[in-house]
Amino acid sequence: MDTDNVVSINNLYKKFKSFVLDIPSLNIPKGFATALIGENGAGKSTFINILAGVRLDYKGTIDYFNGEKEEKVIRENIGYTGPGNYFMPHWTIEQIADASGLLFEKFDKDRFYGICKLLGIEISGIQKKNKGFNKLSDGMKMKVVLANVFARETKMLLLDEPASPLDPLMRDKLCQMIREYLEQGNGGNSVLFSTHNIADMENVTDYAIIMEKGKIAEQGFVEDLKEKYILVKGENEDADKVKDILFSIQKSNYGFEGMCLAEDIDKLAGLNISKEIPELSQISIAVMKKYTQLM
Amino acid sequence: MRIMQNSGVPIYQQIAGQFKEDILAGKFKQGEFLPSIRGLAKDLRISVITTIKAYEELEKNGLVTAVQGKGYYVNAQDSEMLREQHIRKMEEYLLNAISAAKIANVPDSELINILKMLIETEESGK
Amino acid sequence: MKDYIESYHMFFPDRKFRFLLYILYPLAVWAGLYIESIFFDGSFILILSAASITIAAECLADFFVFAGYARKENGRNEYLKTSTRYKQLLKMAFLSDAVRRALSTLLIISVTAAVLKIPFKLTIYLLISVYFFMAVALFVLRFFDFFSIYSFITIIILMLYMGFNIFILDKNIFAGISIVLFVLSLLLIILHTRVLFKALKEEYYD
Repeated sequence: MDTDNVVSINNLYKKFKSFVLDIPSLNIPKGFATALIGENGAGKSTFINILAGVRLDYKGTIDYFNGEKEEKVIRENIGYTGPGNYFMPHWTIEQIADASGLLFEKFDKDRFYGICKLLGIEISGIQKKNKGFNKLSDGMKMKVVLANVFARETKMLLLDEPASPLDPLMRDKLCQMIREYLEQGNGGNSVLFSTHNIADMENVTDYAIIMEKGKIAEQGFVEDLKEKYILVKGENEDADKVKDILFSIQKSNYGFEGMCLAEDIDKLAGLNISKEIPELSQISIAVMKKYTQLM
Repeated sequence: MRIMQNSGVPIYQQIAGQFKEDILAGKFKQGEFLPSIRGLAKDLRISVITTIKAYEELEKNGLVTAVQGKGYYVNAQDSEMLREQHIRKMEEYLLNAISAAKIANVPDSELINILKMLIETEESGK
Repeated sequence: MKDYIESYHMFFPDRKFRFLLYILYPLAVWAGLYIESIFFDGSFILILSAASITIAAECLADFFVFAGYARKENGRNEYLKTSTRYKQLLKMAFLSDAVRRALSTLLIISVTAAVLKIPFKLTIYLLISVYFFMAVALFVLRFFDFFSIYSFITIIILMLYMGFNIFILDKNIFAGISIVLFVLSLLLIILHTRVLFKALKEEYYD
């Protein structure tokens, strides 16, 4: 599918102790929600930190917003959230609101408080007990961070593991907030979020990037990936025959299950198998396993 | 619009199917734009790419046309094609009636009588 | 102007701190001096106490504001790092602090000096020397993030200050020394901003 790109990455390279982040070329499609899928330690956080401008030591070029060169404009239009030490640890909700107004031009304080209320963050309780940001629970912290980023006018959201500390109800709300953000932009707003558990965010994901050990193992629009891969189930006696055609085969007493490329499905003709459209989480697992074997 | 998550039918196909029915039933005027892809995704709580695929399916079937930057509008439905569609549906329903009659051991002549009676009731009801 | 104050307050631990710093602190110093005057008779001792208490109080209060900011630390304030205005806000906060300290020092020392009828030249000297030693102390202190180290260095600075005073007052070179210290204070502030900016920039790199 031909779309505009909100970010174009070329020859991104960064060396770590245990692995190397190596992305020769990557485009993030504009107007969609992209999921960056990978295990812990695959390089997702580093990648997002680099995109968000929190980390500047890397090699390669990143093009934002179709050739925008002014750093001020780029940073103003990116909304980054992360799990680490995000705000100053002692800040109360009010201090967060005050500081955000200083740090970013298009921050709407009323909208921030409105979203806080919507998400069930009891502002007055936190203010009165003078509970600094650091003293909040992980789930509450992420809610405040998300409320803050959605209260700004931006063109791209870079969310690092936003769903991880959230309960299922809040995860669902987050998905809906992302959909509303995309709708408000009418194709001009984009979201990139990372997750190590795609099942939670699958029904908001348009484009998937699967990362393994610092490299991209697979990427594509979800609907295209669901046509590229087929989930095959069959009898154990045939397991050996399919060994080289399927990847990531799982065997049990009741038969085998594995992922197959659609173009290879003819090779399984004649066997007693069932074909299913895989879920994105199943595709991710299969791809990551295969990629690890190759490496 | 009702979507079933676990029915085995891909969601985009379900959406396309329901829009197709509505379009052929005349619920959309010619030239009327379907809901925006992102607005529909929000309302149905699904991904944008799924709504795009659904609309692309409709476009493939000649029911809508895509306009860059504006969305998808409903094509003028060929009345001949529409009529054919409805006739096909009619035949489908009649076949269902015939097999149901067989199961209930209703003879053909009685089936025809019941049909005539129902038509009369429909007519007088109007 | 408002931005300067607001960015300064960004670094405060809470709202109470404003009250503590702007109002309670000078009053506490004078209260302490008043109590001291009951036990000690002599304006000289009292004014030197005022000078020492001012330096000590400012140093310890700074722990709750800028501790550790002269040294790079990866992974803190990630949100602030995404804004282009972070560096500017840090600069405004730092300068607000420098100005506020000057005003506090001016207030406390000059009022105390007026009450105790300290000679003008000595007052000027004390104002400038207190500010200078405070600036030196903070330059060093802000590399550290532990209150125990803050306390330890503060004590050392106080001892150095007292030694310095004894040396100077013996020689009667107030005017000259005051000018030197004044210039050095300004240079120190400029150097300090550079150090803070360098630490900030390095936080974007491993």
